[in-house]
Amino acid sequence: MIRKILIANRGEIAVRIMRTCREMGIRTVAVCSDSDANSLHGEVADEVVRLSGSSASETYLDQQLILSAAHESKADAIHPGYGFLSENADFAERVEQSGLIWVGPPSSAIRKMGSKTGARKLMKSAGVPIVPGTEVLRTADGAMEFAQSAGFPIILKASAGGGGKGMRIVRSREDIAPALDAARREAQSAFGDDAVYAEKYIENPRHIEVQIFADKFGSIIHLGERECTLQRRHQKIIEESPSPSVSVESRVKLGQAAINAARACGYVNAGTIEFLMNSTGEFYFLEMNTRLQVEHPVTEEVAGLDLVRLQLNVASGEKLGMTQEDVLLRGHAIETRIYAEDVLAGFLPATGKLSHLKPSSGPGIREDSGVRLNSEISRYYDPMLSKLVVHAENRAAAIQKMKRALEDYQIAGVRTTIPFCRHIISSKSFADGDFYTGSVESRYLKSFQQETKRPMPDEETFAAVLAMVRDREIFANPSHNGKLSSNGHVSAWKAEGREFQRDREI
Amino acid sequence: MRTYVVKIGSRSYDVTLDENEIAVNGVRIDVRVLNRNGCVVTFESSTRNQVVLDEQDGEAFLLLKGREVSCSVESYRDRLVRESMHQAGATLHHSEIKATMPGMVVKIYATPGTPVRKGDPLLILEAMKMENEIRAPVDGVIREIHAVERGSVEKGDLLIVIE
Repeated sequence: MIRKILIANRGEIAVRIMRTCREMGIRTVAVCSDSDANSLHGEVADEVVRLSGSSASETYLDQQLILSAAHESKADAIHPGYGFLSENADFAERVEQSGLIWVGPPSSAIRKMGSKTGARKLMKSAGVPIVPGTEVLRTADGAMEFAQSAGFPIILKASAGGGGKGMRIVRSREDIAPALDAARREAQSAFGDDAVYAEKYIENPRHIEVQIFADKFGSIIHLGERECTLQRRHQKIIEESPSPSVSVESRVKLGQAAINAARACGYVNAGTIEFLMNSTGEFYFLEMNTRLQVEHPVTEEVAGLDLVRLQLNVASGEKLGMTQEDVLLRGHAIETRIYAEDVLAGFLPATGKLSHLKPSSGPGIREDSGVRLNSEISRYYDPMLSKLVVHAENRAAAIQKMKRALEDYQIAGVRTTIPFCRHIISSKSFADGDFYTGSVESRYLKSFQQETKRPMPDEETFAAVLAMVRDREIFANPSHNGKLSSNGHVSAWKAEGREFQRDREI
Repeated sequence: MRTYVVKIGSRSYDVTLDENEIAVNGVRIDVRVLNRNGCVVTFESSTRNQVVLDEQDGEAFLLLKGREVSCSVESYRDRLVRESMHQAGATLHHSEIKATMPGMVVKIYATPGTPVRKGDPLLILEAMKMENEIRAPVDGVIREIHAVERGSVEKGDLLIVIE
């Protein structure tokens, strides 16, 4: 029985978890770093414990600090969310040993699946298909040897990794050494562990994952698959469920493979088995994410379940209360991730203050957001602001709904991935389900760039509107007249806004 | 009659405003601005629409129906001022690469005095745990390097000068 829970995370996932806790009558404790002092997740929580510092390593990744915060606030459980300490077996073990409830799998399961190389071995023995690859690489020679036997391209991955950090695709001999250095550096900085291994790189694959759920009594169910193929820099950007590329037969096989994988590592609670699927529909185990996923809402929408509620129930020692036959998947759900990023500058993270925010709404639209008006987007954490999720009776209707939701979304202060997601969602290839993990880089970035070069429909009208806005400003405020500097027009919009506000106040 | 040059993306429009007539590139257009609330402007032409005018670091963007495009408005007078200033500084011919976000310089590829081609990697800037490769925006020769490896930089800091 959980009465009070500390959420060891920030942003949208902390907010999303707290909402369910509130519904269940569980008091929530937020942890907030210095730069998150005025954050939304701090506002939504019943209590806040401040973590001094701003970088992730001195706050949300500091195990002792988080444990002390839990004890200090007399919480009886910790939910790690995703990222940060969620897949840290040592931390999970410390939580278990301190007598607190860990809302996640046993530390032993995290450990087994946390080492990508160990997980591959375990899956092989459980009969789950895996991609050919190496053990942890000590030198560039090891990678070279593997590349010679398996053939280029190969992919280097952080053994402790996830989220695309510490990953490099290598297509030629001379690229191996610099790629290995870069992968090690990123792995060290992101996970505190620079172990890297190599796998054969499957060209044009699709990324399919299966949500599983297990209780402490040996029941394991799966909640169907999610299509997570569209990624930029190995990080997902658009996800959907069900996948348009998985046949009814494959769905059954994928589900069974996922359940076998979970059983092999003694899994309890929510988990995700990621698979790569090649062009002929064969799938290979990629990794297991031993936590709640960013994209879990698409599964919640089609399954009609609250996965956080299930997590809390299972962590409290309750039975799942449902069998595979009880799982009914209905309709189609799509999620787009809204990142603060400059897409055409190579998805460069953007920082700033949200000076305007009016999210889209309406039937079938859900937004899991971690920000509000005036939120400061800092450089310290992941640049994801929010997740826009739609649910409709079928894929075509869900696409139409997502397009509308993205068109209606108003945000200012940072550049976001909204225009880019809208571009992908509106494309014929997306409607046809014709895309691969490399499609963002090889196809959509180019077509997006071309689109931005083409005039918008009715662009003359917008030009007229901009001139009228400027004109009003010059002639409504004589002090501006004739004194504008060469770039005075830009900040003049702000001045105009203030003036308008003043007019209204009078 | 008042004239403006409006740039939307790479397109340029001449807008003239009269007491009761608006023309874009000499063609009369029927549009009314209904109201403005902060950066949101509601206007009406054949349909009613809202456009968000977003200003960030001296750059302005127009957001409309999930599309985003850079934009600027210049009055006739602004343009005269700018052009006269541009002529005065026309001999200046170099490119300054500034940090587009705060972060840490992980690696510097550029060395002073060496020629670079547009698109050549200059340095790696790490922010939010991702490494971002900064590439040369123009052909030229590396004149100055202000960044140091493992050093942290703030947004707008001068990193490299190419001439």
